[in-house]
Amino acid sequence: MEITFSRKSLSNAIGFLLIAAALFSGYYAWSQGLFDRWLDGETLQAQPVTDPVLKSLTSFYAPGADRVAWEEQVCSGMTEKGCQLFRALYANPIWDSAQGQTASVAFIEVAETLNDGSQIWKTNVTAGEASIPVYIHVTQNEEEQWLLNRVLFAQEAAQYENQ
Amino acid sequence: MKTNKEFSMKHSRPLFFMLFIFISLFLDIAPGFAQDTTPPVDPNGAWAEVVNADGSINYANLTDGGVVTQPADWMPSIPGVGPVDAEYHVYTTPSGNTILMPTASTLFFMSANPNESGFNAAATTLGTGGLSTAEGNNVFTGIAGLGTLFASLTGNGPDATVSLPNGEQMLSSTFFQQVISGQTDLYALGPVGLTDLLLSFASQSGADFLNGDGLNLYTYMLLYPPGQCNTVPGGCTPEQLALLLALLPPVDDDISAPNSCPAAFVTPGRIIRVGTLIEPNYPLVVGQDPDKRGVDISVSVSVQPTIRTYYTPEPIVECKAGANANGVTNCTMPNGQPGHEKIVGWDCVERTESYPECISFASASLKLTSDSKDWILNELSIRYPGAYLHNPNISIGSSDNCTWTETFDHLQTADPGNWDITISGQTSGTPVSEPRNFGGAAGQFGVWLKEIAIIK
Repeated sequence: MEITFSRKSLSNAIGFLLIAAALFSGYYAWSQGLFDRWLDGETLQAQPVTDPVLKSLTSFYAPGADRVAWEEQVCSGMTEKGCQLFRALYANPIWDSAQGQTASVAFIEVAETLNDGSQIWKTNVTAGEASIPVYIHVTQNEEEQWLLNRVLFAQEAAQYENQ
Repeated sequence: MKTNKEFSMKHSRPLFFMLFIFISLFLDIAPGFAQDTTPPVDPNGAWAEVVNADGSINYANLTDGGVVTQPADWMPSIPGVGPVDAEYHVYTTPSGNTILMPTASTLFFMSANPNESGFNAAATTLGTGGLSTAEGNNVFTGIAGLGTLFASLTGNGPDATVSLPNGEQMLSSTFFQQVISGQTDLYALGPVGLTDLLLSFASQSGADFLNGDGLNLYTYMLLYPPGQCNTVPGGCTPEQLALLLALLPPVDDDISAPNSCPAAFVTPGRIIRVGTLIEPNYPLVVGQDPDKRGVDISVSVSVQPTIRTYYTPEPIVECKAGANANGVTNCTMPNGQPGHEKIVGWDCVERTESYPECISFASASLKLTSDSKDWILNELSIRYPGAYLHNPNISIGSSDNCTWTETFDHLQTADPGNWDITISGQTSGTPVSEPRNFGGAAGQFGVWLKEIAIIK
């Protein structure tokens, strides 16, 4: 027995399958709420690559025995400006109060994206026995790698805590 | 407390301090700095101990107390660590006055927190030159000149501007003056602006922040009389303590002042926030409204003055017959005979001071209440399968003015239900009170949904 398809009926069948696939995709997108997100301008945001920033922040709260090595370690994940300010303003009080302390850091969320594209991240720092929220200002370098610019002062962080 | 030796500007002293000749001719006490000191300080005489006739600092006449660093809770605080150290160079004059020279960054945070830092406790202040300044005379005297001084520290001359987080450009001198007067908060610069400012201070001030390992540039001197040496970083020297004992007033048989009056207290001014629907009376969700009318919303926020209530002991004086122990007669008795004034008792008199307060920043938004969200997602979605929240949070504007009243037209409310008009932000604080955060609903309105029922 030989079954023959005309060219027309074959193209009709393929067209039908394509329309059915499009309708199914549309239904799936609608059922997942993707249309709403697109219409609201919301896109699915991937968590930023936090690696050098969090390593730097961990070192920031855990000064070792060698001051020079510690500052280098903190600065390795920082911007040039951030490193200058860290050495000038932050390093002394941290060195005096937290030497020998161990620390761990966890990224919580992006608290704000500023006009210049830099961001404020909320992190959780566990240093010694205390666990505190710490807000940091981060910027991207030319390779789009996030770097730590500065740990926000408590006075600045208050506005994010109250949001 | 740590101390170490460091000398300021020695290499450029002659040029740098030529300006003191000019300054010493026009010394004035900064407004609001006059203190009840014992003994009273004559600013001309006091500075004459510090500045030579040729304008240079008379180091031979001063005892160098070195650089003093100490934790200060009015300096910015690193979370989990504590405040950054304040840093000053301290000198003592032969008459017991203390001269304090803060680093640029310490001066900045001192003046932004003038009461807590002891800035206002100085009997007199003196700005020094050596910088390219906005006013062109390289002289800053008193708190009024500090805005200009900080603007010059950023190194961009009289037209230097700072960028605020909302994109607004403001003259540096205006911004810093507002910080110092309490109208705004230095943290209003935002993370980017504050980073740049602190880096400017660090680069302009050489070893500022760096524990005095190099050359610090001091631009401002504060003078504290011996009676206040205990409030100065480093405390009183033995010479100052000896001087204080010598200056104690002679013992009098007057009734001494009460040990204590009621403590002063501060009543913060009320933060008034109002959010109102202007039009229309019955707004329709914009999805059902072919004209997309939306809503017109008015927001307003202001702060009433903060009141400080304090008590001062006031003597009750009567005229007693005859001369006092020193042979002085200074009043007349009812019978016409000469007499002397004598304190017979004390009252604690209540006084109040009013401090105006501004908003540092405020923002307003519309938020669909949680009850309305539940209603849409649960009850309404039964009748309209797939009903969802379109845009339950609408940010409508912000301000950093002292007070804020503004109307926003045609805000597109796409979800039916009750909407809260929320206004949040922070006040500037006053010299006697900290900045306060505020937030929450300041008004509410309803947005309506047209429903059609088909009845068989």
